[in-house]
Formats: sequence, structure tokens, C-alpha cells
Amino acid sequence: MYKKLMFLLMIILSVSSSANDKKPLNESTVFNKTFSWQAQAGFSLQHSTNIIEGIEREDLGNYFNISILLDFYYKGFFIQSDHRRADTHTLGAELGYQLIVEDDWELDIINKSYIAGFDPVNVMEIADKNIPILEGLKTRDTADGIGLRYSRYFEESIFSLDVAALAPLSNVNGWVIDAFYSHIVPYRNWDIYINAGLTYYSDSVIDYYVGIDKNEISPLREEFTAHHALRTQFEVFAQHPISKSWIFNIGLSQNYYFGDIGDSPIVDRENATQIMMGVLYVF
Amino acid sequence: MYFKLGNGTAWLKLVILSVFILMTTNTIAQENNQNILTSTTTLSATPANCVALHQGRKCYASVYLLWQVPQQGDFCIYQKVSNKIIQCWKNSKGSQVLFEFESSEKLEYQLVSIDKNIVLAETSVDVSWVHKATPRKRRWRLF
Repeated sequence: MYKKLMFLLMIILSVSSSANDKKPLNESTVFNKTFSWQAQAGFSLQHSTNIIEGIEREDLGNYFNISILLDFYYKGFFIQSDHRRADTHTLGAELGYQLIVEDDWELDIINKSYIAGFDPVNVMEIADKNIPILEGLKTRDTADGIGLRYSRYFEESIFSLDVAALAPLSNVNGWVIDAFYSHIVPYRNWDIYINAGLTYYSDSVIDYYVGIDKNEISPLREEFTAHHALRTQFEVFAQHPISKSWIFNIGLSQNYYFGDIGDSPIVDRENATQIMMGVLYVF
Repeated sequence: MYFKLGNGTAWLKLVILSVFILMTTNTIAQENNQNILTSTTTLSATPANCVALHQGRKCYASVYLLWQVPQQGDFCIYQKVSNKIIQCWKNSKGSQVLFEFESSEKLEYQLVSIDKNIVLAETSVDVSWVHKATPRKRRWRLF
């Protein structure tokens, strides 16, 4: 499966390179600018719930989040942190390369984290208590994936579709299809983003995170094999300028998971909420 | 005759002198009046700067225009260039007005004396932004 995917990626890369050779100065404004960057420092208060039992933020210190957000663009290569989503701070920036850039659509190679992992030992340290259901459980790594992103631009909205393989870059096997739609509603000095996402995770991805293998069986945990799952995401995110360098932002994100994910002994609930409020300093 | 002529010249000189003094005094008084009027006249905008998220976007703010003059009269505040009246006052020597500022660029405002038809003071509201203008599709990226 992965070999086929990588082969497909290589073919697309080759085709795109030759296409770009024929049209070196793409008409898109993106290719006209060879280098640009921007740095932002974010300070925010966050409250989030997690589908995994015990992963809750209870201390004030765990609510406070400081992050440096960097964006670079150089001749089609980019690092971008999506500042307009509530989960930017947990999943980090995206690395990519623009294969095809047209007026109203774009195709990129993308490398990003699709699922934040967790280390049961850290979870218990942060919670400052034993969480029996998590004791002896192996660490779940972050799901870093590499794939293709198709983006379609409309006047006030964007639709993107990622198809990514997780195996080459992380311990998580499997693949992800991630569709995302974002619509901007400008109101006075506010930018309000109304976002919706639909993500499909293959069997092995879900099994890696919520499955219980033979080595993890305990009196509280039976062996469990999870199958594919679907996640829906609804989000409202808003930004308002405070001054020429400071932006206030606030966001609410609600996720629902469908599949047999709720049957896992370590899954507490099939929905997760994230609320954040903070400021960004733009350098 | 000589006397009469002499007397006549003296009167003529006296009249010319009087007219000159009166004219001079009146001009000085007018200049002083003007100086007093303009030097103590104020027009200010609060806030004087409106910040938008992106360059080129219309910026919105509730702005107070505060004005004061030393002598009562009829005054209006105009938006310069468009000549749109913000508000007018009769028999007033100072007031304030709250209005909704909406613009993607700096706008200037003038305090005008309706009686004298002269601009007494000017102020402006600047527009600045956090992010520079970017092409449409790159709006979804930061830069």
C-alpha cells in the first residue's frame, strides 16, 4: 500500500517538475515571491477534553500555553502554522512543497502531524495521580504523515483534502484522509472562521491509539482490536486586532468520533472539546 | 487765506492720521482676534488610529471628535475631501460627537466656522494594520 502511495507521489512529483520547467514563472503570485517569513508568539489559555481516559487538564499551569509560530516560504517550499485553528498549538506546523499552483486551486506535498500522541507516564505525572486504566500502557507516538493536499480556493472560503500515509515518518501504520472546509465571515474588525472537518482513519491508525494488544492486557484492560473511524470536526475561530502587533483570538472546537472507538477500555468518551483564548504577538 | 489754507491742511492731516490710526487699529484687532481664535481652537479625535487585521481592509471604530473655540458661534465638522458633514452646532464654543469611523485609509476632519466660512482646525484618524496585504489565495497562509 505504502509502496504504491510513494510510487504515486514520485510520479506526480516528476510530472509536476516537468510542468514547472515548461512554465517556470507560474502565473500565480505565490511563485513570484521567492522568500518570505513571519514569526508570532502566542500566549493562550486552553481547556480541552480528550477521548482517552485521564487526559484532562486540571491545574491552572496546564491551561496556559506559550508558543512560537513560524512561517517560511521559499520557492515553493513552505512551513506554515495554521493560526486560524484551535488545535494549531497541539499539532504544530505543516511542512510542504507546492507542486501545482493555479488561480483557484493548488496541489502540495504535505508533511504534518495528524494525531497528537500521548505518554501514559507523562499523563499521570501531569495529573499528579495514578490512573489505573493507563498504568503499563505503551506510549502512543504522534501520527506524522506525508501525503498530498489538494486545496480549492473560493472568494471567502477554502476546501482542502489531504491523503496521507503515516508509516514512513512515524510508528503509526495506516493512512488518513482529511477533508477540511473553512469559511471566513468578516464582521467589522473581526475575522470569524467557521470550519468543518471530516477525517477518515484507517484500521491500523485507530488500533495503534486505542487498541489493547496482548502485552497491555491488565485486570482493567481486555485485549481490544479497533477498526477504522471517522471524525467530524466543527470549529469557530475568531481574531480581532488589538494594536499593530497584537491580535486577540478565541476558538471553540468540537470533535465527534464514529466507529468502534468507544468500545476501547481506554476511551472515556467519543467526543472532545477544545476552547482557547489568547493573544498573538506578530513580529 | 493763508490761515484758511493752513487750517485746511491741518484738518486734512488730522483726518488722514485718524483714518490711518483707525485702519491700523482695526487690522491689528482683527489679526489679534484671528490669532486668538485659531491659537486656542482645538479639534481632536479619539482614538486617532484604527487598526485592521489586514492591509486594505475597511477599519471600523467608534471615534470621538472633541472641539473647542474661544468664542461662541456656529460651527460644523466636515470630513475633508468628501465634505460630508459629521455634525453642526449653533451658538456653541465647544462640544463632542461620537461617530462610526469606516475606512480603509486615513481620513481628515475639519472644524469650520460657518459665520466666517474658514477652517479653524484639522485632525485625522489613521488606519494601520497587523498583516500586510497579500494576494487573495495567500490570505489562507499567513504571509
